[in-house]
Amino acid sequence: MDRDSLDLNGLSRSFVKNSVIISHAGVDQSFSVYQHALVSHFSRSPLVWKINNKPFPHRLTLPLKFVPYEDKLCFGPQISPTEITKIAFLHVFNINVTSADDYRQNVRHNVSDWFAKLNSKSDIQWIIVVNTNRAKDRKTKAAIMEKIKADFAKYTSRLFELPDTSDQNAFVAFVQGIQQFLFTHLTLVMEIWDKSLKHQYERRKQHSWEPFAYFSSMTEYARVFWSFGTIEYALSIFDDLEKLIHEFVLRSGEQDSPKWLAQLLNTRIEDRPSLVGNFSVQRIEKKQAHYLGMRNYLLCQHIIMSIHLYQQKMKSNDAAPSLRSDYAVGIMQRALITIEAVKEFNNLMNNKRDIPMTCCWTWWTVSESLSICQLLCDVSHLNVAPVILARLHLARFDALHILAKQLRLNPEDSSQLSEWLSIKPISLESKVLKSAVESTEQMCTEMEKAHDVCVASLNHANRHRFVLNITHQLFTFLRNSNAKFPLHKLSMTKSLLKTMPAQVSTARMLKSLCSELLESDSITEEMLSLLFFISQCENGKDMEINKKLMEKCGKKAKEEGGPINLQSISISDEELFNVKVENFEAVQNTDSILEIRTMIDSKLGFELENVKVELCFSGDPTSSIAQESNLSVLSLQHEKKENICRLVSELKLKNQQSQLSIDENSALTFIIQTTLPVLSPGENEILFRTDITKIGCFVLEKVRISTETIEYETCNVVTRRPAALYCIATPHSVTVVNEAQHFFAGVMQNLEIDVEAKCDIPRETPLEIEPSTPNFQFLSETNEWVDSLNITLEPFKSNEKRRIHVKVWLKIDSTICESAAVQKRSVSCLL
Amino acid sequence: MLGVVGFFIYARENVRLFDSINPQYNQQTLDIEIFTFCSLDIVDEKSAKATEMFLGQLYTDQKWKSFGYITNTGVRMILVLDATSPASLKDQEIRLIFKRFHGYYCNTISNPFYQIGTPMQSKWLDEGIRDLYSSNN
Repeated sequence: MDRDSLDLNGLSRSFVKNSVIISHAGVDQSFSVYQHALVSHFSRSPLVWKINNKPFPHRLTLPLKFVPYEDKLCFGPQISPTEITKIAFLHVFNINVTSADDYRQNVRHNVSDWFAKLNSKSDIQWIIVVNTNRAKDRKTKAAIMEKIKADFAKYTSRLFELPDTSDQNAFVAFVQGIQQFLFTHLTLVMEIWDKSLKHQYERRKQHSWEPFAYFSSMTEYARVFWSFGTIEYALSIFDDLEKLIHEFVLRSGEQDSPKWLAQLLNTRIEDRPSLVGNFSVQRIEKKQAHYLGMRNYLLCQHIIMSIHLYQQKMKSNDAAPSLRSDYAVGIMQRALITIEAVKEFNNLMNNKRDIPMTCCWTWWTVSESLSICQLLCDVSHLNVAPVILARLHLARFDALHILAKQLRLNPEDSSQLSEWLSIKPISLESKVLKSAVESTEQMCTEMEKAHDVCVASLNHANRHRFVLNITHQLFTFLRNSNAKFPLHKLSMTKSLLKTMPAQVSTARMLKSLCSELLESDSITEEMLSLLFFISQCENGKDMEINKKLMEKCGKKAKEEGGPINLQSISISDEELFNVKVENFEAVQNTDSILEIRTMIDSKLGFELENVKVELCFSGDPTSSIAQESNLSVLSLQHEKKENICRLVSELKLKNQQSQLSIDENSALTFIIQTTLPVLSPGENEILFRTDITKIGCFVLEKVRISTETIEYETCNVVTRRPAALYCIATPHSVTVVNEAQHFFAGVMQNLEIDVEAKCDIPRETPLEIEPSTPNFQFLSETNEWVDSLNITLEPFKSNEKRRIHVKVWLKIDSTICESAAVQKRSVSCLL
Repeated sequence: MLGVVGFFIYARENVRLFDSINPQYNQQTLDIEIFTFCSLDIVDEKSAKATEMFLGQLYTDQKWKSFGYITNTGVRMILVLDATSPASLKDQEIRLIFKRFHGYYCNTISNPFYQIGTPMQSKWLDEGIRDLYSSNN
């Protein structure tokens, strides 16, 4: 059978049924008509077989086959159980005579000879069918029957008169008679066979046990039931056989493990087992009975049985809509079990000799079993069992990978393997494998192909970790073969990285897998994510990775014209920087200096240089840290009209209102920033100092940490009190104490000014004193009379009050009223 | 030698909490870790429909085979065995190993200073694992 010409009917026909042989002797042309009727009846009507007075759980259909009588068809003690199917179940002698005399003269001696042969052997079922249709009248017919009954007086139950074709009842009685004899023989041979199998099974732990004899007997036993239409029962026998052999393999390491296992191991694989090549093989030969051969044979039989069952169900009325996919999955599952069992056998028995051949067999078994499934339905779009399909493709890739590694280690094996692959019948798979075995380049190509198919099916089955593993294996092989790297096959998406635990072992694995990719010039977001993830896994310990990350971020930042947001390349949702703001004076006056002490805990694991840290306060009435963090915050609203209170989601509120643009120079934004030469991993204490230059009510909205290449914004700020800032403008007071005093012109007098600071003034403050009229002059520190005086005051503490003495005099000029030599003048002071 | 290669504990989100590799296999740590990493895919698959804590055999390749166990709180335990070891452990023996391993884990998390979900460093656990290696070798 060829893989291209595979079809369900062809596969189904590859099973050759064991017929129920009925031998016939004597001459009767009309009996041949009955033969067809009997064959048709027994093959179509499922019959209940009673064994030990209990009905067999499955109904049998008997495929009858009529053959001329031969001595070798007779049952006897010399017949071994496996030959039971080759002997006749029933022997029939046909008598067709015109009269009793005709019988006596022409037939009787033949019947006697035939009977003598049969009678010499025990446990033989026979019948004599008499055709009296040629007799002239009823009387002659009765005479013929009387004569024959007289001759076989002891066996009258075995004498049948051939019924008239029009007499249905007579035909049914005739059929039932034959059925009874067939079942009697079947019961007899099955009892013998059961006993023999039981005996062999009991000896299974003995060193001299012959696994092949038991295997062939069991498979033949199952095939008999399969021939009789009890496919489920035959399947269960094959399953039991598989389990039995596998059980021994699993226990091969135990001390009492039988020696025949080692003999099984010693059977060399000289043939080239495959599914397509072995479908037509009905019985396995002893030289093919190595473990691989036996499992391959069982798989072939299983597949054909599955197709028979499928066809049987399709014809029935209760066929499920998913019948095709159910049987396709069943075949895939069976193929997978077989492949894994063979792999386990080689592992446990330490069978290194057969590994290359097993790998080749696995490779084409997967392809062939999938081709067969493809006859039932499209397996690539099968959503029922994506895992099984993925495992099959994985087994195929693994097989090729192991084969490639093995051939690299032992190149001398390739010629031997090449010869083995040339064993006929040559299939497409064996040709492809042969060329791969002979050329490393071809092997790399085949591995890439197998990899691609496997990756698609693994992704379909959500086995993303396996995808990485096989890509790793492929790359390791290509690396060692100095082959060209298909870097595009390595897709390290963020979603894939998210499935990995952030730990050192992951980093090690990724570095091993992506070593070429990491060396490339790529600055895609995926690349940055990968580098950043590796760095995070190792907690920034690999300086080379950190350097690469910063270099690539720098390039990307240049390309994009702004720093890269760490959140966009981070895999984990965890905060990279935890910010803790310590308590600060919430109410600030303009001109005062605000100090905020913060603790930034960097989880980056590596140092950042020239870092700008900004505390962004917002005066937007809807702004809050909770909202930025998308936390659910409720706010109490009071409706004046209705005089009721409502709890309203802050998030909702914000969504309802229009977003105000956040501009650094906007009156609604207050940014406090500082620059650090280095931001180390772990905790960093930072002191922010700034002048209060704006008036308003601000709440801390976010903290922004940035360098030239990267930036990060967080709203996750820990504070003991709400991080709110109220900047108010409370003027300091400057009072002229002796304002009420009269100043005399031409006389130097003392002016007393009280200055009171309402809040801390941490720096020197200028005090400017200017007269309201130009006639006043003040004595400066350099003892010069000046028109306006500037004094520098030392820093003030909150609520500190100082009195300042200033010398002042009023010029005498003609504009002054004579009578009023003394003038009262006001002095304005400006602080 | 029954070939116990290593024990691994993962949190519900597959973050590794504990790992121990039999010193005999120290040369193949990366291989073992990649193998265990792959096994997590099958733990994810099996845990959704697990009816008991023992998840059975997870994955096998030419060198290793892994078995899984999931606690009621979703903590995953993986046992890696040498697939080429001549004597294989029976299902019942593997269940027993997991039961003991689970016991050591419970003792470790009973430490009031241990923070759930963080990597485990415990003298008790280390000693327990050493005991498991020695009793199965």
